[in-house]
Amino acid sequence: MKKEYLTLVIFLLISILLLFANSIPPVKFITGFVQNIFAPPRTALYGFKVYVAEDKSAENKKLRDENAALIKKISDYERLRKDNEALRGQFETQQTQNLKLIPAEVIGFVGSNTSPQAIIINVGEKTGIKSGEAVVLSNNLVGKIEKSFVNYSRVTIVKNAAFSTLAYTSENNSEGIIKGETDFILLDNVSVNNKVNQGETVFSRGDINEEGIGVPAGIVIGKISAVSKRESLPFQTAKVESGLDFAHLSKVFVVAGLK
Amino acid sequence: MSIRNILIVLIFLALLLERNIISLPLVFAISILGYILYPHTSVIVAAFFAGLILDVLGVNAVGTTPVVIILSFCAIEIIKMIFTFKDYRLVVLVSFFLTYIYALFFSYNTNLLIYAGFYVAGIGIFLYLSKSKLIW
Repeated sequence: MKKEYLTLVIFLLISILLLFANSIPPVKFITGFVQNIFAPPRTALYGFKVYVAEDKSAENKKLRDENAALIKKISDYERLRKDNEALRGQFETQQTQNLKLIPAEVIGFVGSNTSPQAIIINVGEKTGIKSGEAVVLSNNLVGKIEKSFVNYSRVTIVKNAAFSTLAYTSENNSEGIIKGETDFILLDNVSVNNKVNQGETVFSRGDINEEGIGVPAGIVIGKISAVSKRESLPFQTAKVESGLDFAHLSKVFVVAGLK
Repeated sequence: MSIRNILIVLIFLALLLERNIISLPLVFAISILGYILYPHTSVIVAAFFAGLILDVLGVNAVGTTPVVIILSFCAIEIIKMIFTFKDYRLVVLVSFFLTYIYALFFSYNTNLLIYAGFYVAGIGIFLYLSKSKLIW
């Protein structure tokens, strides 16, 4: 047997063994050590990438920031309006949630440069990050923690096909499921009997498990840009545009529960 | 410094760029190319460790990338048994296909135009290297 063949077999076996030993302490320790070493250059390089891209589209960035700020204002207004309505009608009030947020730097991405499907952030199990926790930026939903390692975590972006959460529209309160479609966000499973208008803001309905992990209610997902409705079908769908530019995110916040 | 050592250095340099600045499977592509040109233990070891670091940095299950890289090396060995691997066009074609399949499965940029550009550039580099008698 050639020496190279033997090396190939040995390293293949080691790799397979490592796949099954991901959660044992020595592997976790080495993982954390490697992540610590690479964190500063990765943060600097990713910052450089964002800086270069931002410089080219300064005007677009300004508009996007303004858009995100306006969407946040609309969301605050809608929440207040609903609270008022509920109080006046002696119905249950929607409690304004105070979220416990953990700041994180974006240090990498998965997917294409212009349309990432996941981002990598510099906080992990050490900071108390758990899979399934929501990630937000200025009350806009970025995504959910897919997996967390010692010092890093991977965030599945709202546009990712693996992402889904419950949602409702601001004006008509039409409920549906938000699904990622790789290039855009889709509001699906909305009954044809409900009204959905273009320009409506879509909020998260709240998708939290018994441990308190998940997407809290009232987080902005985006604005409806197109509606697809056929009377012959039981459900209608709508295309949702997020106010965030996922390709140029540099700082995000992980929702680690309620205060 | 020999071309083999340059390729090993490039594999580790690619680690910093991949998933951070560009979304192309550089580590995988350079490893495949390195193994086709120089099927030496040092290339296997370098690709194995680079794959491990890539998994750690990309928050993947540790060991996934090395398994795929080593299985690709095994695939290259099988291809070598079937075809004569002295034609640079076949080398570039095999690297191109393996890298594109890897990119598809591991959520990298899969714009075919970019890969076609690299394919043409790869043929150019091979032509130059083989004419300069730097390889084979």
